[in-house]
Amino acid sequence: MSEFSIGAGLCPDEEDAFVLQGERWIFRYPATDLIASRKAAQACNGFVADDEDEWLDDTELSCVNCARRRWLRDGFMCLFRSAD
Amino acid sequence: MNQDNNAHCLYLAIDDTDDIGTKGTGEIAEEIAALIQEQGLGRASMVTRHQLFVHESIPYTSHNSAMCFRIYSAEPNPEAIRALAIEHLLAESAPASDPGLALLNETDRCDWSALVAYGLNAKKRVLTKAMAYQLAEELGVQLSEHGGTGDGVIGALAAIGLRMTGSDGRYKGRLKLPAAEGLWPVRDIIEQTTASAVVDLTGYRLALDEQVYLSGKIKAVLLNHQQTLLVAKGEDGQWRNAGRQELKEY
Ligand code: SF4
Repeated sequence: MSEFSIGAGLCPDEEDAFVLQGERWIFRYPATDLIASRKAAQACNGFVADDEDEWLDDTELSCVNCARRRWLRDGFMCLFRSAD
Repeated sequence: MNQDNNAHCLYLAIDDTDDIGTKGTGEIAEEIAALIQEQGLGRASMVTRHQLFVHESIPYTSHNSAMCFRIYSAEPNPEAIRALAIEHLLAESAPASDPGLALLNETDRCDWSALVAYGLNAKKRVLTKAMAYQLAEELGVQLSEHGGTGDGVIGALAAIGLRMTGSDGRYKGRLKLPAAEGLWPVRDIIEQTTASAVVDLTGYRLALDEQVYLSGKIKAVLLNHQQTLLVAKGEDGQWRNAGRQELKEY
């Protein structure tokens, strides 16, 4: 069983998937939560697909596949939102 | 480590050539490899992608990875290869990028342990351009920058060291299957694709008569100096090709 989840659905629709820490918007769920990652990307107009070799989700529209996500030691932040 | 009898082996690596929304570094590396073959400068291997340290003080686009491939030639012409690579980098790199290029002729020496150590370090800590240039000079590696800050030299040099380990990185692109996805004996995978081994996430090497369910995007990694198909057991006990998330660690 993969540690990655496509069924946990940790991301309630009404909740922002990113949390502001200092000036950085950090994805609040584990990067393994693909449901949350897809929902966040669907709600965003800044998605830019990264090189397909860098994708972590077979569904393209997902924050973990976005060229504007920036990996941190633990999880990722969004450059697009952090630039606002 | 030469693959062909009497062939010299060169390593070419590039890094930091892209920007958000532009052509990826892997694609540019594949284009350089194709040009080298077209111009009769040698036979290029497949490109591998090597993950480097992810740290806030390291500027990178969306992933910090560098690309490397090998070139086999009986009569290598490093200057022509380098000139071709530079021309292509200048034409194709994103304007805001910091491209670096490294070219090494394996036959120039036999002890590359310092380069391997540098590559492994680049996965764990922040390295500097000065460190990269100093090591390249000591080892006779041709290292050069081609725009922006030129920070790409750090990763380009590391990618060669990591490729030399024989157990780092993923192959760019997908493993091409001659037939439809489905249940495949390991023997057929090895005979009919470019993969040379089928190994699970713990390092267990599957026997030739075991079967793997192949589906989706099938990727290979560099393990034990072989192009390797990684597999994992599904909940039903059936071997299947590793998914993107499992490949992330490679
Ligand atoms: S990572 Fe990409 S898709 Fe996700 S919120 Fe940021 S810009 Fe939007």
